[in-house]
Amino acid sequence: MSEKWLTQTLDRLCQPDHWGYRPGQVPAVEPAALAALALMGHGREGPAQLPLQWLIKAQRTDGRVCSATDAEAPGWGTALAIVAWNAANRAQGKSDLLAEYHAPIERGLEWLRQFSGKPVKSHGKFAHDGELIGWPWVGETHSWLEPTAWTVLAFRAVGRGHEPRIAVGLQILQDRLLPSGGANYGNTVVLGHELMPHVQPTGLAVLALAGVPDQSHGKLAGALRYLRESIGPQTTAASLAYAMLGLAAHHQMPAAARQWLGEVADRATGRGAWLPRVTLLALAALTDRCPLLNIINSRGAA
Amino acid sequence: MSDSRPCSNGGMQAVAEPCSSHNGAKPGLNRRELIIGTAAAAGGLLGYQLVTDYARGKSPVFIARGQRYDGNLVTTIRDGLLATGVDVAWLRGRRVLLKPNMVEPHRSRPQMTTHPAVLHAAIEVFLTWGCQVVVGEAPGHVRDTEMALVESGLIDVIEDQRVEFADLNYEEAKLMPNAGGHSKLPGIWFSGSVVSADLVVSMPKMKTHHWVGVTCSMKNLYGILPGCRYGWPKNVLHHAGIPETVADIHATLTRKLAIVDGIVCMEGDGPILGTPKPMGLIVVGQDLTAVDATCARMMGMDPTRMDYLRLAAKDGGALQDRHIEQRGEQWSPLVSPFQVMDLPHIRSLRPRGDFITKRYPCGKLKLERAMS
Repeated sequence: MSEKWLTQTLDRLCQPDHWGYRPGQVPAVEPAALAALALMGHGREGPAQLPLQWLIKAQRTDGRVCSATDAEAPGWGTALAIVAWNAANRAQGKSDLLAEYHAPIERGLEWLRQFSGKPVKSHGKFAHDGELIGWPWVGETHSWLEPTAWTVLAFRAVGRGHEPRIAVGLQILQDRLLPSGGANYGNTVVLGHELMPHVQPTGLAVLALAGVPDQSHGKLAGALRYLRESIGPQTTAASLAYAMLGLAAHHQMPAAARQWLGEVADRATGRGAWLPRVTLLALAALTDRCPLLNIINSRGAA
Repeated sequence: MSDSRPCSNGGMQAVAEPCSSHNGAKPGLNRRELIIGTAAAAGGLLGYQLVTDYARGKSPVFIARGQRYDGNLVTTIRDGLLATGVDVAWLRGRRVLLKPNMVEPHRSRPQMTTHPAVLHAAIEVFLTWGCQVVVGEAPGHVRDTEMALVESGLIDVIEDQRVEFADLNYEEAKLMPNAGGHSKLPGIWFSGSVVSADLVVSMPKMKTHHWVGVTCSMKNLYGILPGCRYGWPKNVLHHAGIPETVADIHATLTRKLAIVDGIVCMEGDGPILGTPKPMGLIVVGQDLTAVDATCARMMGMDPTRMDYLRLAAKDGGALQDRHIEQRGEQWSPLVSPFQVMDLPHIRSLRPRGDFITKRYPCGKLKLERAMS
């Protein structure tokens, strides 16, 4: 299998103009964090320091990490930054307090601890427990699946998976899995009708749920089955990457999946440059060596 | 960035000036109107209403029926745009952003998203007129935009037509002052490609909506806001009030028009899980309030009962039928009531029975059938 796409991707990720959502766009937290993770995972620890340092500069005094400069800029990327910084600390093999990224991690964790989703009473309109408090995309809004999943991963990565809010976060992720299999942005049944699943959020949810006691009453198994049945060489890049990572975390990744990566990467690149798509594929290419999968086995991850 | 917009009177109208096509601007009173209004005061409220209507003018809305996805949509859309006063000379060289609905595509549910054939035709029309065409969307429920493009079928159109696609969810954004003021939001973040466009064309699918009744060209504008600022879904807007934020976005985006895919629509539990409803319509107009009001009427709903349309009418959009000039087909023979969710806030959007009987006997017969 040609790894040319992978080499080219990693080469590009060494450049600051590839830490945004499009080449030449200003850096943004999500692409920068994913870039750092991909570079570290593929043995390019030196170049990975650049986006990691940029993430430190993007961190506000309140601990929130955001690329926009206005006061109301959302901080949903903070958890991704923490995961990236922590991966760097682990790679350097330093103990927590001496680790280079200890301070920004602690500031980010503190911000996440006080940042929470708005509870919403269902009044029979939707089936999930809207009063469980997880993490929203933006302040003063409801808890949703992806920001909650990333926060769970962040706290598990740094060994704080035992914190009470993380237990609730895991409960939310299980609650937001669809009865018929899979997950979406975080709604399940609305006005009596079950919504559709999507591969990307399902992959992220099952990744965050890996290695913890399954209290989903079969919904986690259903989500994994949905992923296995949904992916193939025609799956789009970001969805395939998250599906592979989620399935790998449960030791269920199809053997053929890695062979699809080059084809999927070439197609995604030809469809316009949304950088994180191919970065995510680079992460998925690592399979068991992926820093995101290392989280599951971290000390204090559960 | 241009501060002008196409106007049905031809040429350009500066954003600061009211436009008689009611392209989202508040109508101002000129001297003639003031004199007439003063004189009409003596005639009482009814006289004032008649005079105000006369002074206001009408917003043209074009309806084409019998349309098919494999039909000549290029001609239909071009005719519709010309019939509603689009100034082709002004458009030449302008940057036009076409905004289809790709909220949560799934290939098994084509009734959810704008059909590729409609987008293809619109692209062709604007390219023929010498525009720089960009297709842009910020899907509200999915983050994998590549997946959305594939599942909706729009990727084939974009690749075939070799037009730029702008992923509005992830662009750098600009905060625009909230020109509507109906919600508590002081400003609204518009994606960069929206700000840089000379004209935004809302290209919705005509659908029911289980919270606000109807989703059409105005609600479709949720998709010009970046998810990286508002989330997935754009919950900031929901918490600030859906009708209020729909009206605010509409008021804040000054340069716009609508091309509605009403060929196979969605009824039932819209905007995601509803079922196909063939209508065979293409609806075009520069006044999105008028376009949505017309579509709502054809769906068997009373637009004057819809909060976001009432708010938009306060901003100058044409909501009342008497303020809308139908071009192409008349809407009343095309009424085919959509199935809606059996919820109080949705049932209340149906026209009153006597209203239907009085003016649209044919419509009442269809309404009764639909509700049995």
